[in-house]
Amino acid sequence: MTAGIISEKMRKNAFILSSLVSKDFKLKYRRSVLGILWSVLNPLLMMMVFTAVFSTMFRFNIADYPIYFILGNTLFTLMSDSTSSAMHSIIDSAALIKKIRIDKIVFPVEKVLFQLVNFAVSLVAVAIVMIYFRIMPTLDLLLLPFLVLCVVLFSIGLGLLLAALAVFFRDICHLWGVVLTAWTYATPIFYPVDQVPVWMQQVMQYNPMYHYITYFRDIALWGNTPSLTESALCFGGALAVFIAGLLVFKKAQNKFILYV
Amino acid sequence: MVKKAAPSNAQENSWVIKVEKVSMVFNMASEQLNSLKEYAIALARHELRFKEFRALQKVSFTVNKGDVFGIMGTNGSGKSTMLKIVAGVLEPTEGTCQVKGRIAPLIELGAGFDMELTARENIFLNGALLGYPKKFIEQHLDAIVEFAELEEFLDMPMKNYSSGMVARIAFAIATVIVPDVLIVDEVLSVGDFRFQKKCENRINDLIANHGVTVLIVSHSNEQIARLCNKAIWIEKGETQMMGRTRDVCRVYRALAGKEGSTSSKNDVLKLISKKVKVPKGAYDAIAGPNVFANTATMAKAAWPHGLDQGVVVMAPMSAPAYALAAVSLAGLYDAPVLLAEGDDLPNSTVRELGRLDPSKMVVIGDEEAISPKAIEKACSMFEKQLEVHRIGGSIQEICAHLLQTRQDEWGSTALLASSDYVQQHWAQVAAFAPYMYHNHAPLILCEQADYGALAFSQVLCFADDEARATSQVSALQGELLEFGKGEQPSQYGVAVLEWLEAHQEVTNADTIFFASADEPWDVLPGAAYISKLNTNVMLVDTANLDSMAAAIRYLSDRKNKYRKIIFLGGFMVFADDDKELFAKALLP
Repeated sequence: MTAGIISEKMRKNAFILSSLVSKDFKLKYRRSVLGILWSVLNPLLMMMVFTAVFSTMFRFNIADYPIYFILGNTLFTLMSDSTSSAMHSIIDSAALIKKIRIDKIVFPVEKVLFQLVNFAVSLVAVAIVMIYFRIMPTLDLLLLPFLVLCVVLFSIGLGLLLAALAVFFRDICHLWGVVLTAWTYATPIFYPVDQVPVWMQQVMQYNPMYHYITYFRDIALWGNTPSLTESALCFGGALAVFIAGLLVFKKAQNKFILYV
Repeated sequence: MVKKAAPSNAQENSWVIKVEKVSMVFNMASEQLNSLKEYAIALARHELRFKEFRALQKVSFTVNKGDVFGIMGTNGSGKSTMLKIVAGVLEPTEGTCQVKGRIAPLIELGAGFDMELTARENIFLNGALLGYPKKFIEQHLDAIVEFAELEEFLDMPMKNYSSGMVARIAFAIATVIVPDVLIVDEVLSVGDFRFQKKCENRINDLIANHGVTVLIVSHSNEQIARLCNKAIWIEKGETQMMGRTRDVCRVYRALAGKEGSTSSKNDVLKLISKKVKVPKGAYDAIAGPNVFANTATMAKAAWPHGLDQGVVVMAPMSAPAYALAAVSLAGLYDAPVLLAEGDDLPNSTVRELGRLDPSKMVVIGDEEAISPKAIEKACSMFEKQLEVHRIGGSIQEICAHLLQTRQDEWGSTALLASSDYVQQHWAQVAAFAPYMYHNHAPLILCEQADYGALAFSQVLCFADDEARATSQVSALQGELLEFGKGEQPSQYGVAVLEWLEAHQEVTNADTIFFASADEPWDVLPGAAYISKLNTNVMLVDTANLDSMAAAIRYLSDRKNKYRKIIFLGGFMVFADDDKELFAKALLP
């Protein structure tokens, strides 16, 4: 009986999620000539800009810089876009939340899933670059779904936390942009890790995004098989953030309607 | 615990919505703290105090299967909060709310629409948000499109739609499913008349053919009375009454939106629930299409055979004080008072003037108040020469003029007030208008410069600016009576009548007049008529329960004296229920 209700609820939520994702998808590319191609072009163009700046002006000594950059950048973008759109999701759905009985958690989760779709499309750009630079994929690349799962869990957790907090304190919305910028610089996306002082490298161990991006480069570029400890670390961190976000969100969600 | 008997158990099982002792408390921060910094500062200073706002207070009700249940209340009474709790959008602070089955909320149509998407896309999106399976929407797409009448526009972005079309789609989506509970929140006010009818038909169809339980929220009494079989009335978050729609509606009509103390409310309620039939003729109303018609009706009743060469006093509608001055003068002539406004002489005034056939017309006020054009219109009706005498100037000048030129004719009592007081509390003075007419009492305004050598045996002084009034009364001779019984009709309405009863000759009049304390133009020209019937007028504020309760008490104390009430003013002034209520107070 209860199992039936839960499975029906899941099915309902799955339909709501897919409807919302397809809505966002349609709205994103409606009335643009290149449409979905932008999701491929954008990372490529960004890569060209950074390659131009950092291989000619600042000259980082990194082999295959374009691919080094694009791997880090796409993964970081998945996290940053997910969290910032999830953060606004509850406030933006105020009209619905006030009128319809609906699981509020679908709104932030949907935003992360939508960014996941975008990430999947931008993987095409990554593939193009890899082919261009003739990087042979190894079997390690099979770990990519696991990595994506970790990053998505991490993003959902963070997104839930931010969405709940943003309802009560709108300042979060302004602050998060700055935090993301700082985080971009604190993560070796466009510079090599050994470029920074030793103490910072130690601090970086506590940056989850550092681990995820390194993991990505390990399996896609450098052909290193990540250790089991590293995988466990990635997953454990993501799960912890997810659970924390979920708890805060569940605790706060009944009060949303009074503040949105 | 006492075990319940079997039948009550069976009945218990048929509930669909069960609300038990639901309270809703909102913590309203005394100042809005929307930023972390403000929050931290307030927390540090221990200033994080909240004002509790109780939107609902232990509300309980049960809706059984097939009921059409209405929630009534004025704006801000908490009825929408109640609805949100039933819809599951809001969690109650205390108490429980259980709903069996699927709810189709019609709370504000089209909340989930995205205007950039096409209607087709929106139907699927909205359906998903309402919890319909995809297959179900696909199957019923045609039905939705047909009901909303948008076959040609299905693939057009919604932003190009009219608001009526949007409402149609929303209603169609919400009601395509046969829900167990349908929640209707004043939605029927959306769209054009034809669509409203269509929506109501659909709701009726759901009720009649599918046994759907419906919850309707409205502040429109009519809608509830038409659709519901049971109703609850919530006011300020508290249940006022619950039961059969007819009963609740009756009480709601009489009490809703009115201010007053609890004891007054109970008095009024007691009378409402008193089961007596009000006989025909227990009350009457002078309720023409406008005040001019009412004035004409009363003049006709007072002078059924015309005037036969008498005088008519024409009063302007610029301020009640002019009409009071006109009443005092009319008392000397025993003349009717008619009303005029600016340039035009209304038709009913003209007709009554012709019927009365006076030889002289006294016009109160300047040419701005009653223009020569209006006078001309009056004169042109008669073949003979109508003598017109105008008393112009400011209201103080007019009163002074009347006082001096008619010195010998005034009676032994005068009314004294400042012109500001008359302007603000005209109703208090107006209750004396029949007395003024009958006893030839002049209105003296404090600001008047010269009182001449007048002597009255008593001066009725309306005290607001007491010092000033008293100092000038000393120039007048006579006993000073102060009258200032407060500003509310509940305070002075009865007080004036009691004073009059003590100071007038006892009459055997069995009729009493009722007039609104909001509308001077029914009662003032009526003073002559009221005085001719040897009776008085009660000024009440029907929006105030204290005033109503005071009037009801006055009437029930005089059941043996009065047999009939005449209400001055149309349905805008006295609702039918109010009239019935006052008439009931006179019944044994």
